[in-house]
Amino acid sequence: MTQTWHADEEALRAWADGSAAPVPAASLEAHLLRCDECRRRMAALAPATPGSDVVRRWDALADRIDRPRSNPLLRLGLATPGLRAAWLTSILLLLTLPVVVSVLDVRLPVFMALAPVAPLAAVALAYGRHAEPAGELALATPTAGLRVVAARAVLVALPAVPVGVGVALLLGLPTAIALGWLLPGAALAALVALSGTTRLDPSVVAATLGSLWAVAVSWPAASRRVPADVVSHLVASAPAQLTALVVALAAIALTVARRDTVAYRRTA
Amino acid sequence: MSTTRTDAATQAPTGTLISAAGITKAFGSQRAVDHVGLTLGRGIVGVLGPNGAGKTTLLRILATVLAPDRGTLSLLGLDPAHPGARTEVRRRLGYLPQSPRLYGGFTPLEMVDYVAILKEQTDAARRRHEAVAVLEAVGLTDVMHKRIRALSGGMQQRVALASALIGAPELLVLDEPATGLDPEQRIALRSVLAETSHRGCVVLSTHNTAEVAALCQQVLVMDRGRICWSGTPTELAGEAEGRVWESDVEEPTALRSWLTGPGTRRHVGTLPDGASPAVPTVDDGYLLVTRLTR
Repeated sequence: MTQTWHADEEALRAWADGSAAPVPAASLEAHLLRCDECRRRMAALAPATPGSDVVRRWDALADRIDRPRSNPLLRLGLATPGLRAAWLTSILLLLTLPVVVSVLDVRLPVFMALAPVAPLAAVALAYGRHAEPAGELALATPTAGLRVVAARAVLVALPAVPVGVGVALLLGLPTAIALGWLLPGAALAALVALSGTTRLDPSVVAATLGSLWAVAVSWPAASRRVPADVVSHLVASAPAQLTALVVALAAIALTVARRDTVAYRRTA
Repeated sequence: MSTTRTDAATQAPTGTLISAAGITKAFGSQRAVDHVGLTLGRGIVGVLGPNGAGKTTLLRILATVLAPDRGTLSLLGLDPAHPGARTEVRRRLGYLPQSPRLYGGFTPLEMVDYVAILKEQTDAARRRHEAVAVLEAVGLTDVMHKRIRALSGGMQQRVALASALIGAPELLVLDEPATGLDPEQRIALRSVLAETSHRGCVVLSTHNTAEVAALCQQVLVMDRGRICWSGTPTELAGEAEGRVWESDVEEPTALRSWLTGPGTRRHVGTLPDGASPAVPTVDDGYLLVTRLTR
């Protein structure tokens, strides 16, 4: 990188022999990170002897220069455009709900119909072939299979939780409903995860389950058979929540039991 | 797990590293790999064969990416059919698929570092140190901060190769590793593979006989899902000893003939009376072997 100034020899020498004060030393290190010319001069000024203080500090500097720019967790969870799109879509879906509700003045349980779909989509996309930045190469690593898929699904789906709950509260929905979508969402997502251990395509299962859920929740109110908020309250009721919890736990347990099939017998 | 890797590195494996018996894998009614048996130790082994011979399927099985339908397989003394053993094999395995399809938004350093994460390397500083070392081995340090999508095909292939090499694997499975490499890079590849072969087994597939002659100590020739010949490159060339000749006309006794220059034809088959045999190459041996076994 082109630099408009260069460190003077005295400053370089002081850094090399460790006598530079902390602030000038930090400033010089920041400069060395960007300036090839000064790194070259430093190398000429302070010949390296293995184990010396200069070598140790030089290694630390080289390590910072060579460090990958992005966070490992983000590379695992949000690296590929497909995963980023999934993450953004689920967040945007939840964020636009208040607008949809107020602009269209819909009296359907839109929130309860759509909120659980966000984690469901995230899990389906985590199983997708395009979610893996290293492609087929990743299948031959020890983390291949459920471990990496689960980590990815949680990373993508987790941000939807606070956003979903926040949006519900913003809509003025009762707390029971604001939190009531979480367990059904987890149950649906766990069922998609389970489908990933079979020969079924998780994205097809997610689309089917998501559509069924949305229709089942919104249909009674759409057909004016029951008042709009009855279905939402029914979903948020204790028996429905307990059922969702049992389904979620059972699906997770089965997925873990069948984890062997994720990247060995199934996807390859 | 890092302890396991260190132990394994200090105690270089000896004897049989890969053994397979009756390995079969079918896709629908098509048997891609048909009752394959092999025993491999340390060194570089080349799998030769025409397109569709089953090389890629066999390599995917050896890389634990694909489970065989039938047969027994032992990799590094472990049975990959058992999940725990399979994970352990994968800790000591490097794999380069035929079409790696790496995400172009990463830099080579990010990609190799990411694969190191998948290989359970938790120490960030050590991971980076190793990533830079393998990128250096494949000659990519100059571009390690550029986006993969901005690199040439050959460079992208080397990023995938570097990703396969991370973690000092004892078993290296490479599907057509020299694709997209220029002659100089092929020479560099040879030295990288030679280094790995000191500590373990390298299995690579190719349809380039010159590559096999230059790189491999052992050759397996595959055809229609079966291993039809195995031996050293010299032995493969030796198969055509006294059965290869050159002339400028078509020869009825030739099993295969091809043009080698203006008006000159090379033939393998039964040497006709009066013809003088040519010095056989691995190419001749390969063409003869694949024709004779059909």
